[in-house]
Order: sequence, then C-alpha cells, then structure tokens
Amino acid sequence: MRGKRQETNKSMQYEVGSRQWAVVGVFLFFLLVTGHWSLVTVSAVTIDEKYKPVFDELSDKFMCLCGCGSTVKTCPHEDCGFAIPLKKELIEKIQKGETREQIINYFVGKHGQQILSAPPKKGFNLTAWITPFAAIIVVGLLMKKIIDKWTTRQKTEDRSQKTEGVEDKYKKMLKKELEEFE
Amino acid sequence: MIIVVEILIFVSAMFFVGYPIFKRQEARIKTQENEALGELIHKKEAVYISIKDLDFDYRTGKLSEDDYKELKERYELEALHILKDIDDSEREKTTADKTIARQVASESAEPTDKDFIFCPKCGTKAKMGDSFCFKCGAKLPNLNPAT
Amino acid sequence: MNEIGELCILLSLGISIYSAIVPIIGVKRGREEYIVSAENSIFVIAGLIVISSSILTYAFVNRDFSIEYVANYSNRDLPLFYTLSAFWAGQKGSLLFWSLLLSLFAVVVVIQNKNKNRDFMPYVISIISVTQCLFLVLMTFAERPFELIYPPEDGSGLNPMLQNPGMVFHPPTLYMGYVGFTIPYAFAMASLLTGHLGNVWIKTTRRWTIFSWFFLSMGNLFGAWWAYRVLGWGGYWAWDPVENASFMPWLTGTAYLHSVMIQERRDMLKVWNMVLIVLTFSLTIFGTFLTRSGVIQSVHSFGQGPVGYYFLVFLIIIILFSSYLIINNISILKSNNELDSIISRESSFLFNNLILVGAAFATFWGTMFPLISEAIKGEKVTVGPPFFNQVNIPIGLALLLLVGICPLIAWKKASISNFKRNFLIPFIVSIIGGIALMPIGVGHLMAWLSFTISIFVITTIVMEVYKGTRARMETTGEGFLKALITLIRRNKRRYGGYIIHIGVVLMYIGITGTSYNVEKEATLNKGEAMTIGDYKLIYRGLNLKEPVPTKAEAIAAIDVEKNGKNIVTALPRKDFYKTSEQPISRVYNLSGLKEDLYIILAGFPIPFEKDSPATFKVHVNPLVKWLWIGGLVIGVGTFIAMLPDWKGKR
Repeated sequence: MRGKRQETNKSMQYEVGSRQWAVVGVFLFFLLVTGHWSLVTVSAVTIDEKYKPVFDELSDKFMCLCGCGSTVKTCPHEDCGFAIPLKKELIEKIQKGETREQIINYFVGKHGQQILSAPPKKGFNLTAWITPFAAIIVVGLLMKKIIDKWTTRQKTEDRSQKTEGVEDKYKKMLKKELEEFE
Repeated sequence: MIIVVEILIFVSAMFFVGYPIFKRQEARIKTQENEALGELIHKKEAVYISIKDLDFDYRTGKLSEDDYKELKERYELEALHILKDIDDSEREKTTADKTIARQVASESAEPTDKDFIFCPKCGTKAKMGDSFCFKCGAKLPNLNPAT
Repeated sequence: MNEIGELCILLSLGISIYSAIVPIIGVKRGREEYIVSAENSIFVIAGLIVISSSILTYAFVNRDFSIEYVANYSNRDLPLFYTLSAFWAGQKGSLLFWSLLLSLFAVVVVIQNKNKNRDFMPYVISIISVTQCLFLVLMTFAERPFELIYPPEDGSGLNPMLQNPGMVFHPPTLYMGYVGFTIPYAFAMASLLTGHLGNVWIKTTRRWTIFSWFFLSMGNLFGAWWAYRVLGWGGYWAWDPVENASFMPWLTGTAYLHSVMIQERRDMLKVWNMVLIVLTFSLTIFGTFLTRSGVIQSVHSFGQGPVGYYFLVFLIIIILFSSYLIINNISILKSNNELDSIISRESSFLFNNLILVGAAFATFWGTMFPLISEAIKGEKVTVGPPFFNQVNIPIGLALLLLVGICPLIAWKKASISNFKRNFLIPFIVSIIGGIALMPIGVGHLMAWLSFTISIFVITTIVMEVYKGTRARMETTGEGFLKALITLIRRNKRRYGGYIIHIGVVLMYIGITGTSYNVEKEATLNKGEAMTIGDYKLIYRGLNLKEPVPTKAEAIAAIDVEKNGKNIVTALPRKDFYKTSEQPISRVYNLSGLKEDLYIILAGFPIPFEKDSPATFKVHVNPLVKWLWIGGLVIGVGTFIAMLPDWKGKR
C-alpha cells in the first residue's frame, strides 16, 4: 500500500516539475512587465544635511502605525504606507521652519495620542516614567533598612559563642577538610 | 501494517509503565540519610565556602587583617561546632541502629524516624503501623507511634 | 505514518496524566513502585515524542504534503537545512518541539537523580508531567501537528524571512532556555511540598539554571542577530512586547543566579529565591502567552487563536499554586537573616537583585502601560522604543557599575580602607579612559558613561584575576600560568562568572555603539555616488538573476571606497518569491570591529529594467560586532562555569 502511494507521488512530482516552469514564466513576467510588485518603486526620502538632526529626533518621536511596532524612523518596511508619507510630510514641515511643538501638535491632532512613541511626560502619563524609578528607590531604601536590621541582630548575637572550648580532634578535622574543600 | 506498529507501540508503552507496579519493584537501596544530618552537612559546606571566601578575600586584599582574624575565628568556631554536631548525630545514629538491632531481637524497637520503620529482616522501609513487611513478609515490630 | 504520530501524542498525554498523579499517590501510600512506574513513564513519554517528532521530520524531508503543517511550512524547493528548521517555524511544530525538549530534559533529570533526592523526585516528576500535559493537550485538541489535508501539488513554502541561519537557531535556543527553567522550578516546588527547604534543591539545579540562563541569553541574541540581518532597519532590538517578554525572564533569571549564592553561604533569602524562580518560570509562560494569543501585534506572533488562552490559564494556575505553597511554608522559610556588615558582597548582591528586578519591572510596566492607561483614563497611548531606552539605560548603567564594584567588595565585611585601595587603580584607569573619550562624549552623555564604566569594569575584573593568581603564586610557589589555570580550575564558577561579565561588558559596548549610528537614503543613477561617514558608495548597476525557479533576485552592485581606497563591491539584493507577495531585502553587511556598513537595496522601478536607477538605505553602525563577540565570550564563560569537578574522580 505504501509503495503504491509513493509511486503516484513520484509521478505527481514529475508533473508538478513541468508545470512549475510554466508558473515561473508567469512569475517573471509579472516582475519584468507588470506592476505586481509595484510597491518596490521607492524613491529615497532625502533631506538636507542641516535639517537631518531635527528630522532624526522627530521621526523617532512618532510611532509607525502600520503595525510594525517601530517608530517612523526605524520602520523596517521600505515601502511602508504609513511611515513614508509621514516622513515626507515631516520634512516639508521642518523645511518650512515650523517648531517642534507645532509639528508634534499637528501630528497628534491628526492621528491622536497613539502617534507619540512614548507617552508625554505630563499629567497621568508622568506615572509611566516615574513609577519604575520610584519603585526602585523605595524598595532600595526599604532594603537598606532591612539590611541594617540584619547587621545589628548579628552583633548582639555573636558574643555568646566565643568562650566555649572545642576538642582538638575537631580542629584537626576542620583543618584537613578545609584543605581538601573545593 | 500501521495498525500492527500502533499496537506494538501501545503495548510496549503500557508494559514499561506498568511493569514496576506488577513486579512489586524492590525498593531501591536508599541512603536513607538522616534529615537532620543532611542539614548539618549542608551547613558545614556553607561555612566552608564562607571560610574559603574569607581566605581568598584576605589574600586579594579586600579584607583588613583585623576583620579577617575576627571573622575567621568566628566562622571556624561555627564550623567546629557543626563538626561536633555531625559527629554526635552520627554516633547517635550508630548507637541507635545498634539499639534497634538489639531491641528488634526482643521485638520492641524504637523507631529512628517518626513515621517509618525498617523491616528487621530485609531492611525495607515500611510505614509505621504496618504489621508485615510488604517485601519479604516478615512480621514488623508493633509499635505505638506515641513512644 | 501520521496515525502513528497522532497515537504517540495521545498516548503520551495519557501517560503524562498518569505520571502527574501516580507519584503523589506513591508518596502518600509509601509505595516505591508507583514512583518507579512514574519514572518509567518519563522515559516512555520521551520515546513516544521522539517517535512523533521523527515522523514529522520524515514527513518534511519526504515532502508529504498530505500533512497540513508540512504543506503550510515547506515546499519542494526548500533546501534541506531550512526544511529541517521548518519543524519549529509554526505554532504546531513549535509546540511539539517544546514538548520534545521537555521530555528529554525530564529523562536527564530522572537519570541524574536515580540515587539521590528520592524525596523530591515524585513531586518533580509530577510537576514536569503537568507542564507536559499542557503541551500535549494543545496538540491533541487545538493544534494537531499531524492534521491531514487533501494534498496540494506543492506546499506553500517557508516564509522567506525565516530562511536565515539566525531563525534556524533562535527558536531552539530560546525554547531550551524557556523549557530549562521548568527544572529548577519543579525542584523548588518539590522542596516546598516535601518541606525539605534546605539548599538541596538549589544545589541540584545549579547547572540546570546556568544551562537555561545561557540558552535564554543565546536565544535572545540569535533573535537580535536575525532581526539585524533580515528585518533591514539597521537595528536589532525594537522593544517589541514579545522581545520584552523574553527579556524579563532573562533579568529575573540573572537575579536568581546571583542571589542563590547568598543562600548557599548564609542559608538566608529562601523566600526571595523561591519568588525569583517562580517569577522566572511564570514569565517564560507569560512570554509564550503573548506570542501565541495574538493579543499584541508583533513580528514574532504565531497568529491569533485560542492557544494563548490555554497558556494564560496555566499561568494563573502556576502563580496561585506557587504562591499558596510559599505562603504556606513562610514560617519555615523565614530564616535567621543576618549579615556581618552592610558593606559586603552579600548586600551588594541584594542591590544587584534590586536593579535587575527593577529593570524587569520597568520593562513589564512599559509593556502594560497602554492597557493601564486605557483602563484608567480611557486614553490610548503608545509606549514605544524611546520609552524603554530612556528608562532602561540609566538602570542598565547602574547595573554595569555594580558589575564592576561587586568583585571589589569582600564577602561578609569589607573594610572601607581596603575597598578604597582596591577601588583606586580601576578608578584612575577609568578616569583616564573617560577623559580620552571626551571628544566622542560630547552630546552623548549616556554613551560616554557607558564606555567609561565599561573600562572600569574590565579593569576590576582583570585586576581580580591577576590578584587571585598572585595570591596563589605566593602560597604555592607555582608559575604565573600554572597558578592562573589552577585558580580557574578550582573556582570554575567564580572565574566562569567573571568571563561572562566580560562578555556582558562587550555587549554593553556593542549596544552603546547604537548612539553613533548614522543612516542615509539616496536614489542613484548608474555611476552616481553617495557618501556616508568615511565611505563613498558608487552605484555600478542592477541585475536580475534566477537561481531557482521560484525565486528571482535583483542584485545591485556598489563599489565601496573607504578613505579613497576601493575595498569591496557590495551586492545588496532584493528577493522575489513566488510564494510571497512581499519581496525580501537581503542586506549587504560589511562588518568590522569598528563599525558595520549596512546597505539595503530599498527599491527600483517595476517593470524591471537592467541598470535602472535604484534607491538605497545605508547605515553605518559602530561597534555592533562587539555585541556578537560578547555573546561568544558568554558562551566560553558558561562552558567554564559548567565544567564538572574532576577532583572527585581522580
């Protein structure tokens, strides 16, 4: 039963092989002639060197909403339908001489709060920024207190032990075992 | 064909899983370590690590001489106490074993552990309150857990 | 064949349920044979899952498209290497792969503990089996790897993005880390269940923890490497929720690795170590939930489906179960905590834990904040990479500083004067280094700090090793090299750890290089040139090739000149697959120790025309290579730390 099935498999493969060539023809035809991959016609987003720092800064402040999870600056899609138009619009605005606030407000007005790649450091959103550091500092202070408690407890305890005498046998044993240890 | 393979897999899987149950597996020879003793040995190791650390930190110049001496003295003392405790509990254990052996002969042993008892004949661990050893069938000393 | 595969999965599910319950009964009734039977079950489960995995692999190699999974993730043209990796390319296969790893790890655990930890083993087996059940249930009812379809003529092929060595190694390494943490977790729970709360479980699982930690690190690193080479945006870490999800257990796992050292020495922090291992294990499951539930959009997700919710339920069970056990034992776990001094290695480790867990919290907080904001304010906000960078950079630098300071502080009680003396040389060296680095520090304060602290850390580690060697030479009279080797051999964990620290510093250096990234885009006609950094790129032409019938490659040729000298002809390309609508950019990366030159062929007009104008994105990314080198160094350090002790055998 298995053997028969494999045979049919083989003949199928052969058939597919020849058909594949036909498919390839179509495939290259698409690439060479039509615009099936029309999205590849990307032209560079270029910007004057002197505006580049501002552009870099601002394009990192906006989130790309194409679903890539990156900022507009780092969106991995070379033909991104969101990031590229936004970049071009941004360049226009920078070159027009609009201030950072104006530009940010414009895009927030257009796309909502979500466009900002990090929540603004004011109002309720300030908690986003402060909480991690506050938590570390508060817990750190608490830890310092606990450690202090642990160290003082030690100091009061250790006096009681010293006086007791121990047999020499154990001292020898300790020395020997310590030498062999690790 | 496939059915045969499937049955084969199924049967052998069941066999391996079920085998110990039906075979009444011999209890593996266990180094039934006294738990307290085990803890002591771990404590000893912890102290040894500490002493080694002290030596190393002192030799690499992280500890002052005074601190080193004081701490080393303290930890060595602790180590000595632990060594003594280990020795004591080992001695206790051997004497306890001997007493058991002796007492077993007169059918009244004292358990080493609260919940378990060892078969006087083959040494298998059995539950307190069992009447017969499940492995060799010997009669187990009948003990009141309260003692 | 698929019937056998399905049978094996079903059978292992049955046996897993058996081996989850039976050892507990065995303990309750004092019946050793039940436990032995459960141990045999572990072997049988592993055998069955190996059989079904082999069948799936065979189906892949044999191009058996009657199996839906094979048809969806491979096709006839897929090279053997990627055909094998297609095993874990999708949801179903990756579940099977996970199950396979867990079953094999369980076998190793059973063999390792044949004659020890007999009191723990019933519970360990039970907990591992419960985890195994989760995966087997999923594969039986929700995501059947051997589901049949009417065989198509050819499979739909493997996503071209996944046809990269990085993607071959990223999932298995990451899974090994994820799965590995099940073992320390199982032992921790066993110690709670038996009430034997000493250090035994920690000592038993020490190597497992290092092993899992290492693979988790490598998994993340391979992922970063893949993203860098394939996604083509010039970076490797995007603070994507799923990346965060695998970063968080790494942080808590690292904290755990350090804090157990205190428990081994002082018998304290028992509760804390329990919490850390539970946290780490839960976070691995949380990460799996994020990837598989589709609640968050990400390049990593396996699409939407009910699978994620199984993991959510499991996660909740774990958290409730573990917290119950910890709270139940809290009075015994509360040890006599005592420290000799606040300035001691012990307390410095506590602060290292604070920072690591703090970083994990910050990452968690950022990942969750959009949900919090929406719940409280009803306002949708985005928390993207800039947030994580700004919050985690200061925390990361504090951590780096601790990596340098901790080895200078003695265990128990460091005297201030000694600390100052030891501090002096690294301090001076790093100050000199810092001053020398001033020119590149302008405008990059954090980067400058990172480099300066890195110098500090490296100096302390080198001095530590040197001093240890000297001390050994003095006491034993050995030569330098011999003393060094014996020193490392006798303290593998300590020096393995230091080597790992060096690896981590190198990674910091690599990551810090990001601050100096430069990128540029240009559309060039044939013969035109663009400049970036020290490089001049001259566009020489565009060509179309067809290496296999289902793939066409558009290749651009660029002559790269550095400081006026021609160094290489770069060939960035774009691949067109029959099976994929999106063309895939293949980055040309000229990688050096100083910087990477990273060239992407971003676009050209279609219909294709030879030597038509083309658009390029070019990045110059300094120091990236050190990130990967750091990973290698971590590998070496882990290897040394995990070497067995030969002494006992001699």
